[in-house]
Amino acid sequence: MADWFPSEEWLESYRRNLAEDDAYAAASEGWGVEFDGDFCFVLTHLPLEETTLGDLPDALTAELFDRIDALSADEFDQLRETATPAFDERFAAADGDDEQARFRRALSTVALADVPTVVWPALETHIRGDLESLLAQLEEYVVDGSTVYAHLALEDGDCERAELVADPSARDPGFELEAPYETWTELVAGADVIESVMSNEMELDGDVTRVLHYGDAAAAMGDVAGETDAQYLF
Amino acid sequence: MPQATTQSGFQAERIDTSSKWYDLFQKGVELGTWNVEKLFDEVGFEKDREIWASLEPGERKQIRYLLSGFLDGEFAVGEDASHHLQRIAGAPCFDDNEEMEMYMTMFTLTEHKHTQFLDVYMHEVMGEQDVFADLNPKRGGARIPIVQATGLGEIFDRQGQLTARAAHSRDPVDIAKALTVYHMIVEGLLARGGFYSINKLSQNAPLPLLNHGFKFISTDEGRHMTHGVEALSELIAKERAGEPEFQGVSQAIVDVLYENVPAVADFGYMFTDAVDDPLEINFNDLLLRVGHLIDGQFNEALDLDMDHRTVVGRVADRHQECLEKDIDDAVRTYRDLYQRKRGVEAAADGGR
Repeated sequence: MADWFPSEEWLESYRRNLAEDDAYAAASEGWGVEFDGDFCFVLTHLPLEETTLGDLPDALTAELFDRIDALSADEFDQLRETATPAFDERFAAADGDDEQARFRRALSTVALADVPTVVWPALETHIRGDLESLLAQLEEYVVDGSTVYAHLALEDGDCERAELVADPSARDPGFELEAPYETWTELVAGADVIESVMSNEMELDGDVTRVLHYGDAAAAMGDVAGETDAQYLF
Repeated sequence: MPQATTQSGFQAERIDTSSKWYDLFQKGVELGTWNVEKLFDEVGFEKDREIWASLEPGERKQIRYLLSGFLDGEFAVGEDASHHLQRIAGAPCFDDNEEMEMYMTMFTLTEHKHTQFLDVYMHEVMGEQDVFADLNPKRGGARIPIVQATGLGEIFDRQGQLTARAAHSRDPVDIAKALTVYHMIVEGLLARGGFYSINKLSQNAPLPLLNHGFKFISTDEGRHMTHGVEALSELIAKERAGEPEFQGVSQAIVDVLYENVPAVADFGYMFTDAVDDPLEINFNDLLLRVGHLIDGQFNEALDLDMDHRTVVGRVADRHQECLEKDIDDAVRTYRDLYQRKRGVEAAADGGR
């Protein structure tokens, strides 16, 4: 699977790169030793209501639409007949005479936030690969409609674990770094994390004096994020 | 020729009433002339004394340390405004800006009022304070031991040096350095960080007169900051326009920031973690607040390219020094030193 951001896969790539980064290892020696050095990255304002399936990169959705186009008339009718009322509404509003083209247009208008209520089992069988995995992650890990939490276990120069968290209230890491999704994409594109915190674009919660003393480690974490390949979902 | 019309419709012959410094002067007249003694009469000391008496010794120490930083700081800025900033405002690089010189009179007055408020308040509410004012009257006495012990006093010394040099040379780069340490660091970072701390501690120690006074002080300092940003922006604009004598202004501003920003650690640490923070000001929150101020003042307001990593590194190094220092021991050392100086003086005078 490609390194879609945000996703479990991107997070794992980041963890691996961080664990292998010499600059981070040197700068973070002692970090998390005798104190909780774990970080929670909080990505807020994910544009799930504003982004539709049609807005997603073609590399993600092309296979789904090709699959629908390839359905026989009977297969298409069966799929149509089992649709949810929420999809029927969209289908009715879609323009055009060609049924399959209207179906595609209707599907393109479904906001990611609405996927769980609009998509039905028969359609799900046609959603495969990266798109299937990413939609499942959105359903499992998005909290309060637009926020994702990622927990990183950091100790003594290593990142042992990095995972998305379905229930953030069950965790209490030592540090939390929170920002809107767009700010995170700037960081992943190479922006300076220290500058982002100081300019109040990212909110740091935790023992700031410890972060001060490990300023090079914090900077290296940001640098590694910038060096980790990413394809943006939104 | 009559100058432009003000918002209130007045015109003048010599004064440019449309100048931003004229506007600051007028605002200072309207808002900056709060009467310290009248405030004492109107709000009174009683409630503050009552709350002060109810505080734990550690809580009192925390407030005393914070206000000590303010008292020495206000004294230093008042002195340097009187002696140096007035002359800097008349420097050729500001194009004979009569309105800026007018504003500086108001500026200096308010700085001295801040000292007046703090000095009287500390004496009347917190009891007799030995601030060692008798040792060097020219600069308001020896610094209070906690200010000297943490190294905070160094930035007031540096401010005195840089403003004196700029007042003498009237060179744009020297002036940029002086205004940076004075307006952007001492007023812009330390004082504003202090206001933030006064606000926070008031949740656990609601001292009404103190809060009232600091509302006036912070409003005054807001105008001072505006003046500092405007003056530095003017120097930067002339540098960017290619005027030869202004070359080096931007770099000087950034260099002065890097040199003096460690004082943030001295100041914040001395009234928070050094005294176990019983009133929950929270050093972490204060550091982040000041970090945001640094970005806002230098990168946004002055449009400079300041390196946050350098700033963070320097503050971290000073914080480490604070952690390794026995502050209480250092305070005792300065107290003993000052007392010995008094002893020498007393002997020379034939005893007291």
